[in-house]
Amino acid sequence: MRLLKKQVLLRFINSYVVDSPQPANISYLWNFGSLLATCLGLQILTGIFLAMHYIPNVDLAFTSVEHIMRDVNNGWAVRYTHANVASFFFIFVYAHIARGLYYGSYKSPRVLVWAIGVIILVVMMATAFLGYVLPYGQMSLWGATVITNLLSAIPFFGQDLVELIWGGYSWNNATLNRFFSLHYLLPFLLAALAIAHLILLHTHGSNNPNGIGSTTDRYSMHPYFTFKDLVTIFLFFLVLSIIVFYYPNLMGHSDNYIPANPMQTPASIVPEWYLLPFYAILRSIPNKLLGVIAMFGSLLILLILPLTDVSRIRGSTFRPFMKLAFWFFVVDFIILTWIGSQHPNTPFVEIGQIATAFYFLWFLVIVPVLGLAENTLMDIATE
Amino acid sequence: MQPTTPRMSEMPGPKVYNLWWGDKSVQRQKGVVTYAVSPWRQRAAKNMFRSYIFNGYRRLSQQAPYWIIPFAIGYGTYTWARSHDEWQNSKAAHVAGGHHGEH
Repeated sequence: MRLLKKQVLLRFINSYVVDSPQPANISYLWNFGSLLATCLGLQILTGIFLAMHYIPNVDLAFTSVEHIMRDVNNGWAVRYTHANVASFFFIFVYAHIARGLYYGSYKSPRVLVWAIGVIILVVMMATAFLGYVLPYGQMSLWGATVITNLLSAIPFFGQDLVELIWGGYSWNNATLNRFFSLHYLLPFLLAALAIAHLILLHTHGSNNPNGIGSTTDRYSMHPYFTFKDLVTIFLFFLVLSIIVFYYPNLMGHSDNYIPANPMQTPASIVPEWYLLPFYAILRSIPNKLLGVIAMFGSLLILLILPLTDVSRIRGSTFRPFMKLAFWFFVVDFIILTWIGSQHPNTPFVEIGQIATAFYFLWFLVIVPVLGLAENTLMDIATE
Repeated sequence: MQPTTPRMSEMPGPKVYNLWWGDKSVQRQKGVVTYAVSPWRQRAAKNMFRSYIFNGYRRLSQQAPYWIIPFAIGYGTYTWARSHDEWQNSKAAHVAGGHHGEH
Protein backbone atom coordinates (compact mmCIF):
# COMPACT_ATOMS: atom_id res chain seq x y z
CA MET A 1 0.00 0.00 0.00
CA ARG A 2 2.87 2.36 0.75
CA LEU A 3 4.27 1.69 -2.74
CA LEU A 4 0.96 2.82 -4.22
CA LYS A 5 1.48 6.21 -2.58
CA LYS A 6 5.25 6.57 -3.09
CA GLN A 7 6.01 5.30 -6.56
CA VAL A 8 5.70 8.14 -9.02
CA LEU A 9 3.38 6.44 -11.52
CA LEU A 10 1.45 4.38 -9.01
CA ARG A 11 0.63 7.51 -6.99
CA PHE A 12 -0.86 8.97 -10.11
CA ILE A 13 -3.16 5.93 -10.38
CA ASN A 14 -3.78 6.11 -6.65
CA SER A 15 -4.85 9.75 -6.87
CA TYR A 16 -7.41 8.93 -9.58
CA VAL A 17 -8.93 5.55 -8.87
CA VAL A 18 -8.03 4.58 -5.32
CA ASP A 19 -7.85 7.37 -2.75
CA SER A 20 -9.65 10.05 -4.72
CA PRO A 21 -12.47 11.36 -2.49
CA GLN A 22 -15.81 11.36 -4.33
CA PRO A 23 -19.11 12.93 -3.21
CA ALA A 24 -21.01 10.33 -1.18
CA ASN A 25 -24.33 11.16 -2.84
CA ILE A 26 -23.49 10.77 -6.54
CA SER A 27 -26.10 8.55 -8.19
CA TYR A 28 -25.85 5.94 -10.94
CA LEU A 29 -26.06 8.85 -13.42
CA TRP A 30 -22.39 9.46 -12.53
CA ASN A 31 -21.43 6.06 -13.96
CA PHE A 32 -21.39 7.13 -17.59
CA GLY A 33 -17.80 8.42 -17.38
CA SER A 34 -16.41 4.98 -16.58
CA LEU A 35 -18.68 3.42 -19.22
CA LEU A 36 -17.31 5.85 -21.81
CA ALA A 37 -13.75 5.01 -20.83
CA THR A 38 -14.65 1.32 -21.23
CA CYS A 39 -16.08 2.05 -24.68
CA LEU A 40 -12.96 3.92 -25.78
CA GLY A 41 -10.75 1.07 -24.55
CA LEU A 42 -12.90 -1.52 -26.35
CA GLN A 43 -12.91 0.52 -29.55
CA ILE A 44 -9.14 0.97 -29.58
CA LEU A 45 -8.56 -2.74 -28.87
CA THR A 46 -11.05 -4.10 -31.41
CA GLY A 47 -9.96 -1.41 -33.87
CA ILE A 48 -6.31 -2.44 -33.71
CA PHE A 49 -7.28 -6.04 -34.48
CA LEU A 50 -9.56 -4.97 -37.34
CA ALA A 51 -6.76 -2.85 -38.82
CA MET A 52 -4.59 -5.97 -39.02
CA HIS A 53 -6.96 -7.39 -41.65
CA TYR A 54 -8.57 -4.34 -43.24
CA ILE A 55 -7.34 -2.95 -46.59
CA PRO A 56 -7.92 0.79 -47.20
CA ASN A 57 -8.31 0.55 -50.95
CA VAL A 58 -11.48 1.31 -52.93
CA ASP A 59 -11.25 -2.03 -54.76
CA LEU A 60 -10.50 -4.17 -51.72
CA ALA A 61 -12.06 -2.41 -48.69
CA PHE A 62 -15.51 -4.01 -48.97
CA THR A 63 -14.14 -7.48 -49.65
CA SER A 64 -11.55 -7.14 -46.88
CA VAL A 65 -14.41 -6.46 -44.44
CA GLU A 66 -16.20 -9.56 -45.76
CA HIS A 67 -12.92 -11.44 -45.32
CA ILE A 68 -12.86 -10.29 -41.68
CA MET A 69 -16.47 -11.48 -41.28
CA ARG A 70 -16.00 -14.89 -42.93
CA ASP A 71 -12.35 -15.99 -42.82
CA VAL A 72 -10.63 -14.34 -39.87
CA ASN A 73 -11.00 -16.33 -36.66
CA ASN A 74 -13.72 -14.59 -34.62
CA GLY A 75 -13.38 -11.64 -36.99
CA TRP A 76 -17.18 -11.32 -37.07
CA ALA A 77 -17.22 -10.85 -33.28
CA VAL A 78 -14.47 -8.24 -33.40
CA ARG A 79 -16.17 -6.30 -36.18
CA TYR A 80 -19.69 -6.49 -34.74
CA THR A 81 -18.32 -5.44 -31.34
CA HIS A 82 -16.53 -2.48 -32.92
CA ALA A 83 -19.65 -1.43 -34.87
CA ASN A 84 -22.03 -1.77 -31.92
CA VAL A 85 -19.79 -0.27 -29.24
CA ALA A 86 -19.69 2.81 -31.51
CA SER A 87 -23.47 3.08 -31.03
CA PHE A 88 -23.24 2.48 -27.28
CA PHE A 89 -20.45 5.08 -27.11
CA PHE A 90 -22.96 7.66 -28.36
CA ILE A 91 -25.82 6.40 -26.15
CA PHE A 92 -23.53 6.88 -23.15
CA VAL A 93 -22.10 10.21 -24.30
CA TYR A 94 -25.62 11.64 -24.81
CA ALA A 95 -26.63 10.35 -21.37
CA HIS A 96 -23.40 11.81 -19.91
CA ILE A 97 -24.17 15.21 -21.47
CA ALA A 98 -27.81 15.02 -20.33
CA ARG A 99 -26.60 14.38 -16.77
CA GLY A 100 -24.34 17.44 -17.08
CA LEU A 101 -27.25 19.53 -18.36
CA TYR A 102 -29.69 18.35 -15.69
CA TYR A 103 -27.35 18.82 -12.73
CA GLY A 104 -25.61 21.97 -14.01
CA SER A 105 -22.20 20.28 -14.13
CA TYR A 106 -21.13 22.88 -16.72
CA LYS A 107 -21.37 25.76 -14.21
CA SER A 108 -18.33 27.37 -12.64
CA PRO A 109 -15.86 26.03 -11.48
CA ARG A 110 -16.19 23.15 -13.99
CA VAL A 111 -16.47 25.28 -17.16
CA LEU A 112 -13.21 23.94 -18.62
CA VAL A 113 -14.27 20.33 -17.93
CA TRP A 114 -17.43 21.05 -19.95
CA ALA A 115 -15.49 22.81 -22.73
CA ILE A 116 -13.06 19.89 -23.13
CA GLY A 117 -16.09 17.59 -23.09
CA VAL A 118 -17.66 19.47 -26.02
CA ILE A 119 -14.38 19.13 -27.95
CA ILE A 120 -14.38 15.41 -27.14
CA LEU A 121 -17.94 15.17 -28.54
CA VAL A 122 -16.92 16.86 -31.80
CA VAL A 123 -13.80 14.66 -32.19
CA MET A 124 -15.89 11.57 -31.37
CA MET A 125 -18.38 12.44 -34.10
CA ALA A 126 -15.57 12.99 -36.60
CA THR A 127 -14.01 9.64 -35.63
CA ALA A 128 -17.35 7.81 -35.93
CA PHE A 129 -18.05 9.40 -39.30
CA LEU A 130 -14.57 8.44 -40.61
CA GLY A 131 -15.05 4.89 -39.34
CA TYR A 132 -18.42 4.47 -41.03
CA VAL A 133 -16.76 5.23 -44.39
CA LEU A 134 -14.23 2.39 -44.09
CA PRO A 135 -16.41 -0.69 -44.90
CA TYR A 136 -17.04 1.09 -48.20
CA GLY A 137 -20.67 0.13 -48.64
CA GLN A 138 -23.21 2.31 -50.42
CA MET A 139 -24.02 4.35 -47.30
CA SER A 140 -20.30 4.77 -46.55
CA LEU A 141 -19.59 6.32 -49.94
CA TRP A 142 -22.72 8.45 -50.22
CA GLY A 143 -22.70 9.57 -46.60
CA ALA A 144 -19.08 10.62 -47.02
CA THR A 145 -19.91 12.38 -50.31
CA VAL A 146 -22.70 14.37 -48.65
CA ILE A 147 -20.67 15.32 -45.58
CA THR A 148 -17.44 16.23 -47.39
CA ASN A 149 -19.45 18.29 -49.88
CA LEU A 150 -20.83 20.35 -46.98
CA LEU A 151 -17.51 22.16 -46.84
CA SER A 152 -18.01 23.37 -50.42
CA ALA A 153 -20.62 25.73 -48.97
CA ILE A 154 -17.82 27.82 -47.46
CA PRO A 155 -17.48 30.96 -49.61
CA PHE A 156 -14.36 31.64 -51.73
CA PHE A 157 -12.29 28.56 -50.89
CA GLY A 158 -14.93 25.90 -50.10
CA GLN A 159 -14.51 23.92 -53.32
CA ASP A 160 -10.71 24.02 -53.04
CA LEU A 161 -10.94 22.80 -49.44
CA VAL A 162 -13.16 19.86 -50.43
CA GLU A 163 -10.75 18.88 -53.20
CA LEU A 164 -7.86 19.14 -50.75
CA ILE A 165 -9.68 16.77 -48.38
CA TRP A 166 -10.55 14.37 -51.22
CA GLY A 167 -7.04 14.51 -52.66
CA GLY A 168 -8.64 14.71 -56.10
CA TYR A 169 -11.61 16.09 -57.98
CA SER A 170 -14.04 13.61 -56.51
CA TRP A 171 -14.11 10.88 -53.91
CA ASN A 172 -11.23 8.50 -54.71
CA ASN A 173 -8.76 5.98 -53.35
CA ALA A 174 -6.58 8.63 -51.68
CA THR A 175 -9.63 9.81 -49.72
CA LEU A 176 -10.40 6.36 -48.34
CA ASN A 177 -6.74 5.89 -47.42
CA ARG A 178 -6.49 9.15 -45.50
CA PHE A 179 -9.83 8.54 -43.81
CA PHE A 180 -8.46 5.24 -42.54
CA SER A 181 -5.29 6.94 -41.34
CA LEU A 182 -7.27 9.62 -39.49
CA HIS A 183 -9.72 7.07 -38.07
CA TYR A 184 -6.73 5.30 -36.51
CA LEU A 185 -5.20 8.55 -35.22
CA LEU A 186 -8.19 10.34 -33.70
CA PRO A 187 -9.03 7.78 -30.96
CA PHE A 188 -5.62 8.42 -29.43
CA LEU A 189 -6.35 12.15 -29.52
CA LEU A 190 -9.66 11.27 -27.83
CA ALA A 191 -7.79 9.35 -25.13
CA ALA A 192 -5.53 12.36 -24.52
CA LEU A 193 -8.54 14.67 -24.37
CA ALA A 194 -10.26 12.28 -21.95
CA ILE A 195 -7.21 12.49 -19.67
CA ALA A 196 -7.35 16.29 -19.90
CA HIS A 197 -11.08 16.02 -19.05
CA LEU A 198 -10.14 13.99 -15.94
CA ILE A 199 -7.27 16.28 -14.86
CA LEU A 200 -9.64 19.25 -15.02
CA LEU A 201 -12.40 17.32 -13.25
CA HIS A 202 -10.04 16.42 -10.43
CA THR A 203 -9.07 20.01 -9.69
CA HIS A 204 -12.53 20.72 -8.28
CA GLY A 205 -14.01 17.25 -8.01
CA SER A 206 -17.29 15.86 -9.27
CA ASN A 207 -20.57 17.71 -9.04
CA ASN A 208 -23.34 15.90 -7.18
CA PRO A 209 -27.16 15.69 -7.41
CA ASN A 210 -27.65 18.45 -4.83
CA GLY A 211 -25.43 20.88 -6.72
CA ILE A 212 -23.84 22.14 -3.51
CA GLY A 213 -20.34 21.65 -2.14
CA SER A 214 -19.68 18.15 -0.91
CA THR A 215 -16.21 18.41 0.62
CA THR A 216 -17.50 17.32 4.00
CA ASP A 217 -19.05 14.07 2.84
CA ARG A 218 -16.81 11.97 0.64
CA TYR A 219 -16.11 8.30 0.07
CA SER A 220 -12.87 7.15 -1.49
CA MET A 221 -13.07 6.05 -5.12
CA HIS A 222 -11.96 2.54 -4.24
CA PRO A 223 -13.74 0.37 -3.22
CA TYR A 224 -17.03 2.30 -3.15
CA PHE A 225 -17.21 3.74 -6.65
CA THR A 226 -14.94 1.31 -8.47
CA PHE A 227 -17.42 -1.45 -7.60
CA LYS A 228 -20.43 0.74 -8.32
CA ASP A 229 -18.91 1.48 -11.75
CA LEU A 230 -18.43 -2.25 -12.30
CA VAL A 231 -22.18 -2.81 -11.82
CA THR A 232 -23.00 -0.73 -14.90
CA ILE A 233 -19.95 -1.99 -16.82
CA PHE A 234 -21.17 -5.60 -16.42
CA LEU A 235 -24.71 -4.53 -17.28
CA PHE A 236 -23.31 -2.90 -20.43
CA PHE A 237 -21.40 -6.08 -21.32
CA LEU A 238 -24.62 -8.08 -20.89
CA VAL A 239 -26.64 -5.84 -23.21
CA LEU A 240 -23.75 -5.54 -25.66
CA SER A 241 -23.42 -9.33 -25.82
CA ILE A 242 -27.13 -9.71 -26.59
CA ILE A 243 -26.84 -7.09 -29.36
CA VAL A 244 -23.59 -8.47 -30.82
CA PHE A 245 -24.68 -12.12 -30.76
CA TYR A 246 -28.37 -11.81 -31.64
CA TYR A 247 -29.08 -8.41 -33.25
CA PRO A 248 -25.72 -7.21 -34.59
CA ASN A 249 -27.22 -5.11 -37.39
CA LEU A 250 -30.03 -3.58 -35.33
CA MET A 251 -28.41 -0.14 -35.24
CA GLY A 252 -26.91 -0.26 -38.73
CA HIS A 253 -28.26 0.38 -42.23
CA SER A 254 -28.83 -2.50 -44.66
CA ASP A 255 -27.58 -0.42 -47.63
CA ASN A 256 -24.04 -0.63 -46.24
CA TYR A 257 -23.96 -4.30 -47.23
CA ILE A 258 -24.12 -3.21 -50.89
CA PRO A 259 -20.62 -2.43 -52.23
CA ALA A 260 -20.04 1.29 -52.85
CA ASN A 261 -21.06 2.30 -56.34
CA PRO A 262 -20.36 5.88 -57.48
CA MET A 263 -22.74 5.39 -60.43
CA GLN A 264 -25.80 4.63 -58.28
CA THR A 265 -27.18 6.96 -55.62
CA PRO A 266 -29.21 5.21 -52.88
CA ALA A 267 -32.90 6.13 -52.53
CA SER A 268 -32.22 7.95 -49.28
CA ILE A 269 -28.88 8.86 -47.75
CA VAL A 270 -29.01 8.75 -43.97
CA PRO A 271 -26.12 8.93 -41.53
CA GLU A 272 -25.71 6.61 -38.55
CA TRP A 273 -28.53 7.05 -36.01
CA TYR A 274 -26.39 9.03 -33.56
CA LEU A 275 -25.72 11.78 -36.12
CA LEU A 276 -29.40 12.11 -37.12
CA PRO A 277 -30.32 15.06 -34.81
CA PHE A 278 -27.55 17.17 -36.31
CA TYR A 279 -28.42 15.98 -39.82
CA ALA A 280 -32.01 17.11 -39.16
CA ILE A 281 -30.76 20.55 -38.11
CA LEU A 282 -28.63 20.74 -41.28
CA ARG A 283 -31.60 19.90 -43.51
CA SER A 284 -34.01 22.24 -41.70
CA ILE A 285 -32.30 25.29 -43.14
CA PRO A 286 -32.79 25.77 -46.90
CA ASN A 287 -29.56 27.73 -47.40
CA LYS A 288 -26.59 25.34 -47.63
CA LEU A 289 -24.01 27.51 -45.87
CA LEU A 290 -26.41 28.53 -43.09
CA GLY A 291 -27.39 24.88 -42.69
CA VAL A 292 -23.74 23.87 -42.24
CA ILE A 293 -23.23 26.73 -39.76
CA ALA A 294 -26.36 25.64 -37.83
CA MET A 295 -25.18 22.03 -37.71
CA PHE A 296 -21.77 22.90 -36.29
CA GLY A 297 -23.40 25.61 -34.18
CA SER A 298 -25.73 23.06 -32.63
CA LEU A 299 -22.69 21.32 -31.14
CA LEU A 300 -20.71 24.42 -30.22
CA ILE A 301 -23.73 26.10 -28.61
CA LEU A 302 -23.20 23.73 -25.67
CA LEU A 303 -20.20 25.93 -24.83
CA ILE A 304 -22.46 28.92 -24.18
CA LEU A 305 -24.35 27.28 -21.31
CA PRO A 306 -22.01 28.42 -18.51
CA LEU A 307 -22.78 31.99 -19.66
CA THR A 308 -26.51 31.73 -20.36
CA ASP A 309 -27.43 29.72 -17.27
CA VAL A 310 -27.59 32.67 -14.88
CA SER A 311 -29.42 30.81 -12.11
CA ARG A 312 -27.79 31.03 -8.70
CA ILE A 313 -28.73 27.40 -8.06
CA ARG A 314 -26.67 24.70 -9.71
CA GLY A 315 -28.64 21.87 -11.28
CA SER A 316 -32.34 21.15 -11.69
CA THR A 317 -32.97 19.21 -8.46
CA PHE A 318 -34.48 22.24 -6.72
CA ARG A 319 -35.73 24.02 -9.87
CA PRO A 320 -39.06 22.55 -11.06
CA PHE A 321 -39.35 24.78 -14.14
CA MET A 322 -35.84 23.88 -15.23
CA LYS A 323 -36.76 20.19 -14.88
CA LEU A 324 -39.68 20.73 -17.24
CA ALA A 325 -37.44 22.68 -19.65
CA PHE A 326 -34.85 19.89 -19.51
CA TRP A 327 -37.37 17.21 -20.49
CA PHE A 328 -38.70 19.41 -23.29
CA PHE A 329 -35.11 19.61 -24.56
CA VAL A 330 -34.71 15.82 -24.36
CA VAL A 331 -37.96 15.31 -26.32
CA ASP A 332 -36.82 17.92 -28.86
CA PHE A 333 -33.56 16.00 -29.33
CA ILE A 334 -35.46 12.71 -29.83
CA ILE A 335 -37.78 14.42 -32.35
CA LEU A 336 -34.74 15.73 -34.26
CA THR A 337 -33.29 12.19 -34.31
CA TRP A 338 -36.53 10.86 -35.77
CA ILE A 339 -36.87 13.73 -38.31
CA GLY A 340 -33.28 13.13 -39.48
CA SER A 341 -34.29 9.62 -40.54
CA GLN A 342 -37.35 10.73 -42.55
CA HIS A 343 -37.67 11.84 -46.16
CA PRO A 344 -37.87 15.65 -46.44
CA ASN A 345 -41.64 15.65 -46.99
CA THR A 346 -44.27 17.95 -45.69
CA PRO A 347 -45.04 17.40 -42.08
CA PHE A 348 -41.47 16.27 -41.34
CA VAL A 349 -39.76 19.37 -42.78
CA GLU A 350 -41.91 21.74 -40.72
CA ILE A 351 -41.58 19.67 -37.54
CA GLY A 352 -37.81 19.62 -38.10
CA GLN A 353 -37.72 23.40 -38.50
CA ILE A 354 -39.73 23.97 -35.32
CA ALA A 355 -37.55 21.46 -33.42
CA THR A 356 -34.37 23.17 -34.72
CA ALA A 357 -35.66 26.58 -33.64
CA PHE A 358 -36.54 25.16 -30.21
CA TYR A 359 -33.08 23.58 -29.91
CA PHE A 360 -31.35 26.95 -30.28
CA LEU A 361 -33.98 28.87 -28.31
CA TRP A 362 -33.50 26.50 -25.40
CA PHE A 363 -29.87 27.59 -24.96
CA LEU A 364 -30.31 31.25 -25.87
CA VAL A 365 -33.71 32.16 -24.39
CA ILE A 366 -35.33 29.49 -22.20
CA VAL A 367 -32.36 28.76 -19.93
CA PRO A 368 -31.40 32.42 -19.27
CA VAL A 369 -35.03 33.56 -18.85
CA LEU A 370 -35.75 30.76 -16.36
CA GLY A 371 -32.60 31.65 -14.42
CA LEU A 372 -33.41 35.36 -14.37
CA ALA A 373 -37.02 34.71 -13.31
CA GLU A 374 -35.92 32.41 -10.49
CA ASN A 375 -33.27 34.84 -9.26
CA THR A 376 -35.75 37.72 -9.32
CA LEU A 377 -38.43 35.73 -7.50
CA MET A 378 -35.87 34.67 -4.92
CA ASP A 379 -34.77 38.29 -4.42
CA ILE A 380 -38.38 39.39 -3.93
CA ALA A 381 -39.09 36.53 -1.52
CA THR A 382 -36.01 37.15 0.62
CA GLU A 383 -36.14 40.94 0.70
CA MET B 1 9.63 13.21 10.48
CA GLN B 2 10.15 10.78 7.69
CA PRO B 3 12.09 12.14 4.70
CA THR B 4 9.19 11.17 2.46
CA THR B 5 6.62 13.23 4.37
CA PRO B 6 7.10 16.57 2.55
CA ARG B 7 6.83 14.80 -0.78
CA MET B 8 3.81 12.79 0.31
CA SER B 9 2.06 15.90 1.60
CA GLU B 10 1.31 16.77 -2.01
CA MET B 11 -0.41 13.45 -2.40
CA PRO B 12 -4.18 13.48 -2.84
CA GLY B 13 -5.85 11.42 -0.22
CA PRO B 14 -8.51 11.59 2.44
CA LYS B 15 -7.48 15.14 3.38
CA VAL B 16 -6.26 16.54 0.10
CA TYR B 17 -8.24 16.48 -3.11
CA ASN B 18 -6.18 18.50 -5.54
CA LEU B 19 -3.99 17.06 -8.21
CA TRP B 20 -0.26 17.03 -7.61
CA TRP B 21 0.48 16.52 -11.29
CA GLY B 22 0.18 19.63 -13.43
CA ASP B 23 -0.55 23.19 -12.44
CA LYS B 24 0.19 23.75 -8.77
CA SER B 25 -1.25 27.27 -8.80
CA VAL B 26 -4.87 26.14 -8.92
CA GLN B 27 -6.81 26.47 -5.72
CA ARG B 28 -6.62 23.40 -3.56
CA GLN B 29 -9.80 22.07 -2.05
CA LYS B 30 -9.66 22.31 1.70
CA GLY B 31 -11.42 20.48 4.46
CA VAL B 32 -12.23 17.35 2.53
CA VAL B 33 -13.80 14.81 4.89
CA THR B 34 -13.86 11.22 3.75
CA TYR B 35 -15.82 8.46 5.43
CA ALA B 36 -15.29 4.76 5.15
CA VAL B 37 -16.93 1.67 6.56
CA SER B 38 -14.90 -1.28 7.76
CA PRO B 39 -15.00 -4.13 5.25
CA TRP B 40 -16.32 -6.33 8.08
CA ARG B 41 -19.32 -4.07 8.61
CA GLN B 42 -20.22 -3.39 5.01
CA ARG B 43 -23.49 -4.81 3.69
CA ALA B 44 -23.49 -3.35 0.21
CA ALA B 45 -26.33 -5.48 -1.12
CA LYS B 46 -28.57 -5.27 1.95
CA ASN B 47 -32.22 -5.02 0.84
CA MET B 48 -30.90 -4.20 -2.61
CA PHE B 49 -33.80 -5.42 -4.71
CA ARG B 50 -36.52 -4.37 -2.27
CA SER B 51 -35.13 -0.88 -1.91
CA TYR B 52 -34.43 -0.50 -5.61
CA ILE B 53 -37.95 -1.60 -6.55
CA PHE B 54 -39.95 0.36 -3.98
CA ASN B 55 -37.67 3.29 -3.24
CA GLY B 56 -36.64 3.49 -6.88
CA TYR B 57 -40.30 3.53 -7.95
CA ARG B 58 -41.10 6.23 -5.38
CA ARG B 59 -38.23 8.44 -6.50
CA LEU B 60 -38.81 7.98 -10.22
CA SER B 61 -42.59 8.44 -9.99
CA GLN B 62 -42.03 11.74 -8.22
CA GLN B 63 -40.32 12.99 -11.37
CA ALA B 64 -43.19 11.89 -13.65
CA PRO B 65 -45.01 15.26 -13.74
CA TYR B 66 -41.92 16.85 -15.26
CA TRP B 67 -41.44 14.46 -18.17
CA ILE B 68 -44.99 13.31 -18.89
CA ILE B 69 -46.08 16.55 -20.59
CA PRO B 70 -43.04 16.88 -22.92
CA PHE B 71 -43.14 13.20 -23.86
CA ALA B 72 -46.92 13.31 -24.44
CA ILE B 73 -46.52 16.29 -26.78
CA GLY B 74 -43.57 14.61 -28.52
CA TYR B 75 -45.39 11.30 -28.97
CA GLY B 76 -48.53 13.12 -30.13
CA THR B 77 -46.49 14.97 -32.78
CA TYR B 78 -44.89 11.69 -33.87
CA THR B 79 -48.17 9.80 -34.29
CA TRP B 80 -49.90 12.76 -35.98
CA ALA B 81 -47.03 13.23 -38.46
CA ARG B 82 -46.92 9.54 -39.31
CA SER B 83 -50.65 9.27 -39.91
CA HIS B 84 -50.62 12.52 -41.90
CA ASP B 85 -47.74 11.26 -44.05
CA GLU B 86 -49.58 7.97 -44.58
CA TRP B 87 -52.71 9.84 -45.61
CA GLN B 88 -50.74 12.10 -47.95
CA ASN B 89 -49.45 9.06 -49.80
CA SER B 90 -52.92 7.51 -50.07
CA LYS B 91 -55.29 7.57 -52.99
CA ALA B 92 -57.81 9.50 -50.89
CA ALA B 93 -55.39 12.38 -50.36
CA HIS B 94 -54.54 12.57 -54.05
CA VAL B 95 -58.22 12.73 -54.90
CA ALA B 96 -58.88 15.33 -52.20
CA GLY B 97 -55.90 17.44 -53.26
CA GLY B 98 -56.93 17.48 -56.91
CA HIS B 99 -53.76 15.72 -57.98
CA HIS B 100 -55.70 12.78 -59.33
CA GLY B 101 -53.90 11.04 -62.15
CA GLU B 102 -50.56 12.79 -61.63
CA HIS B 103 -48.86 9.79 -60.13
